[in-house]
Amino acid sequence: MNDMFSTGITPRDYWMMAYGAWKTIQMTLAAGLLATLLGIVLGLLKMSRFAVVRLAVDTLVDVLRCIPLLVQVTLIFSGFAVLGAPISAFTAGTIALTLFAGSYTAEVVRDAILAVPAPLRRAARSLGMTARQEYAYVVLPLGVRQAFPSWLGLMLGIVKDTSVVAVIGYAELLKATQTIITRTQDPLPLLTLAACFYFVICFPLSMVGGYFERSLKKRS
Amino acid sequence: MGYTFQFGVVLDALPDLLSGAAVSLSLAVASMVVGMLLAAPLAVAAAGRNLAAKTPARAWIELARNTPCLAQIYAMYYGLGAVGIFMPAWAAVFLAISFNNAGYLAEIFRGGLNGINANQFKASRSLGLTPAMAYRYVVFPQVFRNTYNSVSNQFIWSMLNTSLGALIGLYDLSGVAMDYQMRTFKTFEFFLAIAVAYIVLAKLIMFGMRFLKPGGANA
Repeated sequence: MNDMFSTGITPRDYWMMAYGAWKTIQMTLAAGLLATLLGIVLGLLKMSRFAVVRLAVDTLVDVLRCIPLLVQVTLIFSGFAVLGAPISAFTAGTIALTLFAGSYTAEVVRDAILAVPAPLRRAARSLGMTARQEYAYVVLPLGVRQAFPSWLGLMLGIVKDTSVVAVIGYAELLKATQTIITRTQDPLPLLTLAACFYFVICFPLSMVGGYFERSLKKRS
Repeated sequence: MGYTFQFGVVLDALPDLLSGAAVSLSLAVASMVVGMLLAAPLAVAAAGRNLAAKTPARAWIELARNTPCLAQIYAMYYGLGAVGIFMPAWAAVFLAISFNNAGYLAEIFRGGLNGINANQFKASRSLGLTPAMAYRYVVFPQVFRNTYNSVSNQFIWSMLNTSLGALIGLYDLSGVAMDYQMRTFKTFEFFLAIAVAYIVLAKLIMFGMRFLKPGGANA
């Protein structure tokens, strides 16, 4: 870069976008992992014996699903600041995405458990398995197969939803792109490139999902 | 903790917030209607064998589902602006969310189409219905009924997505909150208020969809 006022796209810009894509992947991994864990916990709690627990979880999930992610991210970011314990944009974004995606994962987990035929579970128990063994050897293998496609869909959703965390200043892929656009004033090639980046991240995953779904259909 | 919550400023902004809510809801309804109208032929094309129709339909669906909604809004607003097509923020959001809805709904309808026995279509054809009539009167009424819950969810989902319009200056619920946040620095209060407003809107949509359900509220 000889001229600091040049408006062309430089190799550095591509590097900045690639770095943005990496930050997108980082947040996806963190939020994806946490959301899966949260989803499993909430999904199991959804099937609790106690009506109070079920009601509490259902209400939480319902509320999380009815508020736009943009609003949740801003609320969490400013909420922690208001409480006097400011957190980084990465942390705030990860928490928001975890809650948001976790509430959807809970539903997936519950449906997967319900999809395991009840007689099969009773049979496992009557063979002398403990409740834990029943979950580990019967419900889990069958449930995972059922839940995988929807779970993958949710993870793909996180990749795209990281773009919303840009509002609180997390320089992920789309924010990086937007920043470069304000200098070059040439949005088309850069936005196309950003879309390509997202596609490259998402498409292989959705192919795996499609393959898995088809092989499941063949087996059943 | 030295922070005092001030909800008075939120109350002062109530007229603007209400008009913002009207913008959010009307955009959601409009883009849902257009999305449904586009999704039906897209789903038929994507499920069919005609490659000339199938390829663009699949491309639309994959593009809509594999890129962030925000990127789609940017593409309409900044991208089309770069080739000389300028439009106000609401139009860009409307087009982007319609495009997005069409992709997601087409995938939902495609699943619904798979669940309909192919012989029904053949039977309608042999009774003298044109392909368009067969889809209109025989196939799609069933598809709509079977996919109703997914479609309702997509409706709520797209309403929540309209909030992204605030980033290109749309004066919807989120846009109003962002505007007032800059003037008053009461970020938390305003976003808490609109969070509640969004829940109310989502419940309104849920409620409305229950009444529109074919066969009535209890079907």
